[in-house]
Amino acid sequence: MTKPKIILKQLTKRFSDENHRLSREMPALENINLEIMPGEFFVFLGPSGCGKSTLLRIMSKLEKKYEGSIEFDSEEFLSRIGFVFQQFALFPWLSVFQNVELALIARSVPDHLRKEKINTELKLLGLEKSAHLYPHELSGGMKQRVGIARALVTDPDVIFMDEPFSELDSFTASQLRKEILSIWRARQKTIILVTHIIKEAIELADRIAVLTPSPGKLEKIFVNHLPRPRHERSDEFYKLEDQLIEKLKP
Amino acid sequence: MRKKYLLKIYKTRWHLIFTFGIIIIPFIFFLTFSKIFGIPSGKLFSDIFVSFNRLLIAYLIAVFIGWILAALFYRGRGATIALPLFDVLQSFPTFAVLPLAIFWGGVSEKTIIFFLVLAILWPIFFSIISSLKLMKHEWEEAVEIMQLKGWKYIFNFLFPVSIPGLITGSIIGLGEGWEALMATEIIIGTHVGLGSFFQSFSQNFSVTAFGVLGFLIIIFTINKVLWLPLLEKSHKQMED
Repeated sequence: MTKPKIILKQLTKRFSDENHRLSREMPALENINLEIMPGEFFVFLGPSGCGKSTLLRIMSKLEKKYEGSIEFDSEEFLSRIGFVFQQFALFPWLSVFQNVELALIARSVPDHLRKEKINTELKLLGLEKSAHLYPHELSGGMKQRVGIARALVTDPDVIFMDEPFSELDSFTASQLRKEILSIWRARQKTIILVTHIIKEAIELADRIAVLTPSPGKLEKIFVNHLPRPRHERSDEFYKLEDQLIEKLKP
Repeated sequence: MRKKYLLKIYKTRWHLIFTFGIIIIPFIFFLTFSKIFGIPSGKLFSDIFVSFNRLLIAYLIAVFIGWILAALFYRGRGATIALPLFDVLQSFPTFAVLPLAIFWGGVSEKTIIFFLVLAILWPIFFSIISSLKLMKHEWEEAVEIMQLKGWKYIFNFLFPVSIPGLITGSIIGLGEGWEALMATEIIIGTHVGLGSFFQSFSQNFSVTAFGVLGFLIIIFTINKVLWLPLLEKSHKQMED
Protein backbone atom coordinates (compact mmCIF):
# COMPACT_ATOMS: atom_id res chain seq x y z
CA MET A 1 0.00 0.00 0.00
CA THR A 2 1.32 3.47 -0.94
CA LYS A 3 2.24 5.66 1.98
CA PRO A 4 0.54 9.11 2.01
CA LYS A 5 2.78 12.13 1.35
CA ILE A 6 1.09 14.17 4.06
CA ILE A 7 -1.29 13.22 6.86
CA LEU A 8 -3.16 15.93 8.75
CA LYS A 9 -4.65 14.93 12.09
CA GLN A 10 -7.08 17.18 13.95
CA LEU A 11 -5.36 20.26 12.65
CA THR A 12 -6.61 23.48 14.25
CA LYS A 13 -5.27 26.98 13.90
CA ARG A 14 -6.25 30.01 15.95
CA PHE A 15 -5.08 33.58 15.37
CA SER A 16 -4.81 35.80 18.39
CA ASP A 17 -6.54 39.14 17.97
CA GLU A 18 -4.12 41.34 19.87
CA ASN A 19 -6.02 44.53 19.03
CA HIS A 20 -9.00 43.29 20.97
CA ARG A 21 -9.13 44.40 24.59
CA LEU A 22 -9.59 40.88 25.89
CA SER A 23 -6.96 39.46 23.54
CA ARG A 24 -9.32 36.78 22.26
CA GLU A 25 -8.40 34.03 19.83
CA MET A 26 -10.03 33.74 16.41
CA PRO A 27 -10.31 30.20 15.04
CA ALA A 28 -9.09 30.03 11.43
CA LEU A 29 -9.10 26.26 10.88
CA GLU A 30 -10.82 23.58 12.91
CA ASN A 31 -10.22 19.88 13.17
CA ILE A 32 -8.87 19.15 9.68
CA ASN A 33 -8.18 15.47 9.00
CA LEU A 34 -6.99 14.22 5.62
CA GLU A 35 -4.31 12.35 3.67
CA ILE A 36 -2.66 13.46 0.45
CA MET A 37 -1.19 10.73 -1.74
CA PRO A 38 2.06 10.86 -3.78
CA GLY A 39 1.62 12.12 -7.33
CA GLU A 40 -1.83 13.48 -6.53
CA PHE A 41 -3.17 16.81 -7.76
CA PHE A 42 -5.03 17.92 -4.64
CA VAL A 43 -7.06 21.13 -4.53
CA PHE A 44 -8.48 22.99 -1.55
CA LEU A 45 -11.54 24.96 -2.59
CA GLY A 46 -13.26 27.56 -0.49
CA PRO A 47 -14.38 31.18 -0.26
CA SER A 48 -12.07 34.00 0.87
CA GLY A 49 -11.24 33.80 4.56
CA CYS A 50 -11.84 30.07 4.94
CA GLY A 51 -8.21 29.50 5.91
CA LYS A 52 -7.10 27.62 2.80
CA SER A 53 -3.91 29.66 2.37
CA THR A 54 -3.20 29.24 6.08
CA LEU A 55 -3.58 25.49 5.67
CA LEU A 56 -1.07 25.53 2.80
CA ARG A 57 1.37 27.51 4.94
CA ILE A 58 0.97 25.08 7.82
CA MET A 59 1.67 22.10 5.56
CA SER A 60 4.79 23.79 4.14
CA LYS A 61 5.81 24.82 7.69
CA LEU A 62 5.78 28.51 6.87
CA GLU A 63 3.25 28.72 9.68
CA LYS A 64 4.60 26.95 12.73
CA LYS A 65 1.99 27.49 15.42
CA TYR A 66 -0.99 25.17 15.23
CA GLU A 67 -2.74 22.40 17.16
CA GLY A 68 -2.97 18.82 15.98
CA SER A 69 -0.31 17.05 13.96
CA ILE A 70 1.17 16.75 10.48
CA GLU A 71 3.05 13.67 9.33
CA PHE A 72 5.24 13.63 6.25
CA ASP A 73 6.35 10.57 4.30
CA SER A 74 10.03 11.29 4.98
CA GLU A 75 12.27 13.35 7.22
CA GLU A 76 13.62 15.23 4.19
CA PHE A 77 10.14 16.32 3.16
CA LEU A 78 10.69 20.02 3.84
CA SER A 79 13.88 20.13 1.82
CA ARG A 80 11.99 18.66 -1.14
CA ILE A 81 9.18 21.18 -1.56
CA GLY A 82 8.49 24.10 -3.88
CA PHE A 83 6.03 26.94 -3.39
CA VAL A 84 4.27 29.10 -5.96
CA PHE A 85 2.98 32.33 -4.45
CA GLN A 86 -0.18 34.23 -5.33
CA GLN A 87 1.73 37.48 -5.86
CA PHE A 88 4.77 35.78 -7.35
CA ALA A 89 7.26 36.75 -4.56
CA LEU A 90 10.03 37.44 -7.07
CA PHE A 91 13.07 39.37 -5.91
CA PRO A 92 13.03 42.62 -7.90
CA TRP A 93 16.81 43.16 -7.70
CA LEU A 94 17.47 39.86 -9.47
CA SER A 95 16.93 38.99 -13.13
CA VAL A 96 14.70 36.10 -14.21
CA PHE A 97 17.75 33.82 -14.41
CA GLN A 98 19.04 34.94 -10.99
CA ASN A 99 15.63 34.54 -9.34
CA VAL A 100 15.52 30.91 -10.43
CA GLU A 101 19.22 30.46 -9.63
CA LEU A 102 18.80 31.56 -6.01
CA ALA A 103 16.82 28.40 -5.20
CA LEU A 104 19.83 26.37 -6.38
CA ILE A 105 22.38 28.57 -4.61
CA ALA A 106 20.45 27.93 -1.39
CA ARG A 107 20.88 24.20 -1.94
CA SER A 108 24.59 24.57 -2.82
CA VAL A 109 24.17 23.18 -6.34
CA PRO A 110 27.53 23.60 -8.17
CA ASP A 111 27.78 26.41 -10.70
CA HIS A 112 28.12 24.21 -13.82
CA LEU A 113 24.98 22.22 -12.93
CA ARG A 114 23.00 25.33 -12.09
CA LYS A 115 23.10 26.77 -15.59
CA GLU A 116 21.86 23.58 -17.18
CA LYS A 117 18.98 23.13 -14.71
CA ILE A 118 17.87 26.76 -14.99
CA ASN A 119 17.94 26.73 -18.79
CA THR A 120 15.83 23.55 -18.82
CA GLU A 121 13.12 25.15 -16.65
CA LEU A 122 13.21 28.48 -18.48
CA LYS A 123 12.81 26.68 -21.79
CA LEU A 124 9.94 24.58 -20.43
CA LEU A 125 8.10 27.74 -19.38
CA GLY A 126 8.94 29.74 -22.50
CA LEU A 127 11.24 32.15 -20.67
CA GLU A 128 14.55 31.43 -22.37
CA LYS A 129 14.54 34.81 -24.17
CA SER A 130 13.57 36.67 -21.00
CA ALA A 131 16.35 35.32 -18.76
CA HIS A 132 18.09 38.72 -18.56
CA LEU A 133 14.94 40.71 -17.77
CA TYR A 134 14.00 42.00 -14.32
CA PRO A 135 10.58 41.43 -12.68
CA HIS A 136 9.39 44.99 -13.36
CA GLU A 137 9.90 44.34 -17.07
CA LEU A 138 7.60 41.27 -17.07
CA SER A 139 3.84 40.81 -17.43
CA GLY A 140 1.88 39.07 -14.64
CA GLY A 141 1.80 35.82 -16.60
CA MET A 142 5.56 35.88 -17.15
CA LYS A 143 6.18 36.65 -13.48
CA GLN A 144 4.17 33.62 -12.47
CA ARG A 145 6.08 31.51 -15.00
CA VAL A 146 9.28 32.58 -13.24
CA GLY A 147 7.67 31.65 -9.91
CA ILE A 148 6.84 28.20 -11.29
CA ALA A 149 10.33 27.76 -12.78
CA ARG A 150 11.83 28.66 -9.39
CA ALA A 151 9.61 26.08 -7.68
CA LEU A 152 10.49 23.39 -10.23
CA VAL A 153 14.23 23.93 -10.55
CA THR A 154 15.10 22.12 -7.33
CA ASP A 155 13.15 19.05 -8.50
CA PRO A 156 10.79 19.00 -5.49
CA ASP A 157 8.52 16.09 -4.57
CA VAL A 158 5.65 18.37 -3.58
CA ILE A 159 4.68 21.76 -5.02
CA PHE A 160 2.38 24.01 -3.01
CA MET A 161 0.45 26.58 -5.04
CA ASP A 162 -1.34 29.44 -3.32
CA GLU A 163 -3.99 30.77 -5.74
CA PRO A 164 -1.33 30.95 -8.45
CA PHE A 165 -3.62 32.22 -11.21
CA SER A 166 -5.75 34.72 -9.31
CA GLU A 167 -3.58 37.72 -10.26
CA LEU A 168 -3.70 36.85 -13.97
CA ASP A 169 -6.18 37.60 -16.75
CA SER A 170 -8.46 34.70 -17.67
CA PHE A 171 -6.70 33.90 -20.96
CA THR A 172 -3.24 33.73 -19.35
CA ALA A 173 -4.63 31.79 -16.38
CA SER A 174 -6.23 29.22 -18.68
CA GLN A 175 -2.99 28.83 -20.67
CA LEU A 176 -0.92 28.42 -17.48
CA ARG A 177 -3.35 25.84 -16.07
CA LYS A 178 -2.83 23.72 -19.18
CA GLU A 179 0.95 24.03 -18.80
CA ILE A 180 0.81 23.12 -15.12
CA LEU A 181 -1.21 20.01 -15.95
CA SER A 182 1.27 18.99 -18.62
CA ILE A 183 4.22 19.54 -16.21
CA TRP A 184 2.42 17.55 -13.51
CA ARG A 185 1.85 14.64 -15.90
CA ALA A 186 5.42 14.69 -17.21
CA ARG A 187 7.20 15.13 -13.86
CA GLN A 188 4.77 13.21 -11.65
CA LYS A 189 4.93 15.64 -8.76
CA THR A 190 2.44 15.94 -5.94
CA ILE A 191 0.70 19.29 -6.36
CA ILE A 192 -1.37 20.89 -3.60
CA LEU A 193 -3.21 23.98 -4.78
CA VAL A 194 -5.68 26.33 -3.17
CA THR A 195 -8.27 28.29 -5.10
CA HIS A 196 -11.68 29.91 -4.79
CA ILE A 197 -12.53 29.28 -8.45
CA ILE A 198 -14.73 26.18 -8.86
CA LYS A 199 -13.97 25.64 -12.56
CA GLU A 200 -10.24 25.82 -11.87
CA ALA A 201 -10.57 23.16 -9.18
CA ILE A 202 -12.54 20.83 -11.48
CA GLU A 203 -10.13 21.33 -14.39
CA LEU A 204 -7.06 20.52 -12.33
CA ALA A 205 -7.83 18.28 -9.38
CA ASP A 206 -7.80 14.57 -8.73
CA ARG A 207 -9.55 15.36 -5.45
CA ILE A 208 -11.18 18.56 -4.25
CA ALA A 209 -11.46 19.36 -0.55
CA VAL A 210 -14.22 21.90 0.14
CA LEU A 211 -13.62 24.18 3.11
CA THR A 212 -16.32 26.14 4.90
CA PRO A 213 -15.61 29.69 6.08
CA SER A 214 -14.88 31.06 9.57
CA PRO A 215 -13.58 28.78 10.90
CA GLY A 216 -12.36 26.64 8.00
CA LYS A 217 -13.70 23.11 8.36
CA LEU A 218 -13.40 20.28 5.92
CA GLU A 219 -16.92 20.01 4.48
CA LYS A 220 -16.36 17.22 1.99
CA ILE A 221 -13.71 15.70 -0.27
CA PHE A 222 -14.85 15.14 -3.86
CA VAL A 223 -13.05 12.59 -6.02
CA ASN A 224 -12.86 14.01 -9.53
CA HIS A 225 -13.25 11.11 -11.99
CA LEU A 226 -13.68 13.29 -15.08
CA PRO A 227 -11.33 12.16 -17.84
CA ARG A 228 -8.57 14.56 -18.91
CA PRO A 229 -8.57 16.89 -20.83
CA ARG A 230 -11.67 18.14 -19.07
CA HIS A 231 -14.22 20.06 -21.06
CA GLU A 232 -15.92 22.91 -19.26
CA ARG A 233 -19.14 22.42 -21.21
CA SER A 234 -19.56 18.70 -20.67
CA ASP A 235 -22.53 17.43 -18.64
CA GLU A 236 -20.24 15.77 -16.09
CA PHE A 237 -18.36 19.02 -15.57
CA TYR A 238 -21.61 20.90 -14.94
CA LYS A 239 -22.80 18.16 -12.59
CA LEU A 240 -19.69 18.32 -10.44
CA GLU A 241 -19.79 22.12 -10.53
CA ASP A 242 -23.37 22.05 -9.20
CA GLN A 243 -22.39 19.67 -6.41
CA LEU A 244 -19.51 21.94 -5.40
CA ILE A 245 -21.68 25.08 -5.52
CA GLU A 246 -24.20 23.32 -3.31
CA LYS A 247 -21.51 22.52 -0.73
CA LEU A 248 -20.08 26.03 -0.84
CA LYS A 249 -23.42 27.74 -0.22
CA PRO A 250 -23.38 29.66 3.07
CA MET B 1 24.16 40.66 -16.80
CA ARG B 2 24.50 42.57 -13.56
CA LYS B 3 27.36 44.79 -14.84
CA LYS B 4 25.35 45.81 -17.87
CA TYR B 5 22.59 46.98 -15.54
CA LEU B 6 25.03 48.95 -13.40
CA LEU B 7 26.28 50.93 -16.39
CA LYS B 8 22.73 51.98 -17.16
CA ILE B 9 23.26 54.77 -14.59
CA TYR B 10 24.71 56.71 -17.52
CA LYS B 11 21.87 56.75 -20.00
CA THR B 12 23.63 58.52 -22.89
CA ARG B 13 27.17 59.46 -23.93
CA TRP B 14 26.38 63.12 -23.06
CA HIS B 15 25.34 62.06 -19.59
CA LEU B 16 28.73 60.38 -19.14
CA ILE B 17 30.63 63.41 -20.53
CA PHE B 18 28.59 65.75 -18.29
CA THR B 19 29.42 63.58 -15.28
CA PHE B 20 33.16 63.73 -16.06
CA GLY B 21 32.80 67.50 -16.42
CA ILE B 22 31.27 67.70 -12.98
CA ILE B 23 34.16 65.70 -11.53
CA ILE B 24 36.77 68.02 -13.10
CA ILE B 25 35.05 71.31 -12.12
CA PRO B 26 36.05 71.22 -8.39
CA PHE B 27 39.72 70.67 -9.28
CA ILE B 28 39.76 73.59 -11.72
CA PHE B 29 37.89 75.73 -9.21
CA PHE B 30 40.31 75.03 -6.37
CA LEU B 31 43.40 75.55 -8.55
CA THR B 32 42.06 78.93 -9.72
CA PHE B 33 40.97 79.80 -6.18
CA SER B 34 44.39 79.06 -4.66
CA LYS B 35 46.18 81.03 -7.44
CA ILE B 36 43.95 84.14 -6.97
CA PHE B 37 44.32 84.25 -3.19
CA GLY B 38 47.95 83.15 -3.07
CA ILE B 39 47.23 80.06 -1.04
CA PRO B 40 49.66 77.21 -1.72
CA SER B 41 47.54 74.75 -3.74
CA GLY B 42 49.36 71.84 -2.09
CA LYS B 43 48.16 73.03 1.32
CA LEU B 44 44.59 73.45 0.06
CA PHE B 45 44.47 70.02 -1.55
CA SER B 46 46.06 68.36 1.48
CA ASP B 47 43.40 69.99 3.73
CA ILE B 48 40.67 68.65 1.46
CA PHE B 49 42.31 65.22 1.31
CA VAL B 50 42.74 64.95 5.10
CA SER B 51 39.12 65.96 5.78
CA PHE B 52 37.86 63.57 3.12
CA ASN B 53 39.96 60.79 4.53
CA ARG B 54 38.58 61.33 8.04
CA LEU B 55 35.03 61.39 6.77
CA LEU B 56 35.56 58.30 4.60
CA ILE B 57 37.03 56.23 7.46
CA ALA B 58 34.25 57.32 9.83
CA TYR B 59 31.63 56.60 7.15
CA LEU B 60 32.94 53.07 6.52
CA ILE B 61 32.99 52.31 10.26
CA ALA B 62 29.46 53.72 10.65
CA VAL B 63 28.18 51.63 7.71
CA PHE B 64 29.73 48.49 9.16
CA ILE B 65 28.37 49.03 12.68
CA GLY B 66 25.03 50.43 11.48
CA TRP B 67 24.38 47.53 9.11
CA ILE B 68 25.19 44.88 11.71
CA LEU B 69 23.03 46.59 14.36
CA ALA B 70 20.16 46.96 11.89
CA ALA B 71 20.39 43.31 10.81
CA LEU B 72 20.38 42.21 14.45
CA PHE B 73 17.59 44.43 15.69
CA TYR B 74 15.16 45.09 12.85
CA ARG B 75 12.63 42.61 14.23
CA GLY B 76 11.94 40.19 17.03
CA ARG B 77 12.18 40.61 20.76
CA GLY B 78 15.58 42.34 20.45
CA ALA B 79 13.96 45.11 18.41
CA THR B 80 11.36 45.95 21.06
CA ILE B 81 14.13 46.51 23.59
CA ALA B 82 16.89 47.94 21.42
CA LEU B 83 15.02 50.34 19.10
CA PRO B 84 13.70 52.69 21.83
CA LEU B 85 17.20 52.70 23.33
CA PHE B 86 18.82 53.56 19.99
CA ASP B 87 16.17 56.23 19.44
CA VAL B 88 17.20 57.92 22.70
CA LEU B 89 20.87 57.66 21.73
CA GLN B 90 20.30 59.20 18.29
CA SER B 91 18.31 62.08 19.84
CA PHE B 92 21.15 62.84 22.25
CA PRO B 93 23.13 65.93 21.10
CA THR B 94 26.41 64.51 19.83
CA PHE B 95 28.45 67.62 20.68
CA ALA B 96 27.70 67.09 24.37
CA VAL B 97 30.06 64.10 24.23
CA LEU B 98 32.88 66.01 22.52
CA PRO B 99 34.62 67.25 25.71
CA LEU B 100 34.52 63.70 27.10
CA ALA B 101 35.87 62.29 23.82
CA ILE B 102 38.75 64.82 23.90
CA PHE B 103 39.41 64.00 27.57
CA TRP B 104 39.72 60.29 26.75
CA GLY B 105 41.30 60.42 23.31
CA GLY B 106 43.05 63.81 23.36
CA VAL B 107 43.38 65.90 20.20
CA SER B 108 43.88 63.02 17.85
CA GLU B 109 42.59 61.42 14.65
CA LYS B 110 40.90 58.76 16.77
CA THR B 111 38.86 61.37 18.65
CA ILE B 112 37.73 63.07 15.44
CA ILE B 113 36.81 59.79 13.76
CA PHE B 114 35.02 58.50 16.88
CA PHE B 115 33.01 61.67 16.99
CA LEU B 116 32.19 61.51 13.28
CA VAL B 117 31.05 57.89 13.62
CA LEU B 118 28.58 58.99 16.31
CA ALA B 119 27.19 61.64 13.95
CA ILE B 120 26.92 59.39 10.86
CA LEU B 121 25.85 56.13 12.49
CA TRP B 122 22.22 56.84 13.45
CA PRO B 123 20.83 58.08 10.12
CA ILE B 124 22.39 55.04 8.44
CA PHE B 125 21.12 52.65 11.10
CA PHE B 126 17.53 53.94 11.10
CA SER B 127 17.33 54.13 7.29
CA ILE B 128 18.48 50.51 7.00
CA ILE B 129 15.99 49.52 9.70
CA SER B 130 13.16 51.15 7.73
CA SER B 131 14.23 49.32 4.55
CA LEU B 132 14.35 45.98 6.34
CA LYS B 133 11.00 46.57 8.01
CA LEU B 134 9.41 47.25 4.62
CA MET B 135 10.58 43.87 3.34
CA LYS B 136 7.69 41.97 1.76
CA HIS B 137 6.46 39.05 3.82
CA GLU B 138 6.27 36.88 0.68
CA TRP B 139 10.00 37.42 0.03
CA GLU B 140 10.75 36.10 3.51
CA GLU B 141 8.51 33.11 2.88
CA ALA B 142 10.21 32.47 -0.47
CA VAL B 143 13.69 32.40 1.10
CA GLU B 144 12.39 30.16 3.88
CA ILE B 145 11.02 27.67 1.36
CA MET B 146 14.35 27.80 -0.52
CA GLN B 147 16.15 27.23 2.79
CA LEU B 148 18.48 30.12 2.11
CA LYS B 149 20.51 30.41 5.30
CA GLY B 150 23.70 31.85 6.86
CA TRP B 151 26.00 33.92 4.67
CA LYS B 152 23.99 33.06 1.57
CA TYR B 153 20.92 34.59 3.23
CA ILE B 154 22.86 37.71 4.22
CA PHE B 155 24.56 38.33 0.86
CA ASN B 156 21.74 37.28 -1.47
CA PHE B 157 18.74 38.55 0.46
CA LEU B 158 19.26 40.72 3.52
CA PHE B 159 21.96 42.95 2.03
CA PRO B 160 20.12 43.71 -1.25
CA VAL B 161 16.92 44.51 0.68
CA SER B 162 18.86 46.94 2.88
CA ILE B 163 20.49 48.85 0.00
CA PRO B 164 17.86 51.61 -0.52
CA GLY B 165 18.02 52.38 3.22
CA LEU B 166 21.80 52.25 3.19
CA ILE B 167 21.96 54.80 0.38
CA THR B 168 19.34 57.13 1.86
CA GLY B 169 21.06 56.84 5.25
CA SER B 170 24.44 57.54 3.66
CA ILE B 171 23.18 60.75 2.05
CA ILE B 172 21.70 62.01 5.32
CA GLY B 173 24.54 60.65 7.46
CA LEU B 174 27.27 62.21 5.33
CA GLY B 175 25.43 65.54 5.42
CA GLU B 176 25.57 65.41 9.20
CA GLY B 177 29.10 64.07 8.98
CA TRP B 178 30.37 67.11 7.03
CA GLU B 179 28.81 69.41 9.58
CA ALA B 180 30.30 67.48 12.51
CA LEU B 181 33.68 67.29 10.74
CA MET B 182 33.97 71.05 10.21
CA ALA B 183 32.84 71.80 13.75
CA THR B 184 35.12 69.19 15.32
CA GLU B 185 38.17 70.33 13.35
CA ILE B 186 37.51 73.94 14.36
CA ILE B 187 36.71 73.19 18.04
CA ILE B 188 39.58 70.75 18.52
CA GLY B 189 41.91 72.99 16.57
CA THR B 190 43.55 70.55 14.19
CA HIS B 191 46.42 71.81 12.03
CA VAL B 192 45.21 70.19 8.83
CA GLY B 193 41.75 69.75 7.37
CA LEU B 194 39.06 71.98 5.91
CA GLY B 195 37.97 73.04 9.40
CA SER B 196 41.42 74.42 10.16
CA PHE B 197 41.48 76.07 6.70
CA PHE B 198 38.26 77.97 7.44
CA GLN B 199 39.50 78.77 10.94
CA SER B 200 42.77 80.24 9.68
CA PHE B 201 40.99 82.43 7.09
CA SER B 202 38.06 83.39 9.33
CA GLN B 203 39.01 87.10 9.13
CA ASN B 204 39.15 87.09 5.33
CA PHE B 205 35.62 87.29 3.94
CA SER B 206 36.54 86.62 0.27
CA VAL B 207 38.57 83.50 1.02
CA THR B 208 35.85 82.18 3.34
CA ALA B 209 33.10 82.89 0.80
CA PHE B 210 34.99 81.18 -2.04
CA GLY B 211 35.93 78.36 0.30
CA VAL B 212 32.27 77.77 1.14
CA LEU B 213 31.43 77.91 -2.59
CA GLY B 214 34.15 75.34 -3.33
CA PHE B 215 32.86 73.19 -0.51
CA LEU B 216 29.35 73.31 -1.97
CA ILE B 217 30.73 72.34 -5.39
CA ILE B 218 32.42 69.29 -3.85
CA ILE B 219 29.22 68.19 -2.10
CA PHE B 220 27.14 68.82 -5.22
CA THR B 221 29.63 66.80 -7.29
CA ILE B 222 29.59 63.85 -4.92
CA ASN B 223 25.80 63.87 -4.80
CA LYS B 224 25.40 64.23 -8.55
CA VAL B 225 28.03 61.69 -9.51
CA LEU B 226 27.59 59.11 -6.79
CA TRP B 227 24.59 59.29 -4.47
CA LEU B 228 21.73 60.44 -6.67
CA PRO B 229 22.36 57.81 -9.40
CA LEU B 230 22.74 55.17 -6.69
CA LEU B 231 19.54 56.31 -5.00
CA GLU B 232 17.63 56.18 -8.30
CA LYS B 233 19.08 52.80 -9.18
CA SER B 234 18.36 51.30 -5.75
CA HIS B 235 14.72 52.38 -5.85
CA LYS B 236 14.34 51.16 -9.42
CA GLN B 237 15.76 47.81 -8.37
CA MET B 238 13.05 47.42 -5.75
CA GLU B 239 10.24 47.93 -8.29
CA ASP B 240 8.20 44.80 -8.86
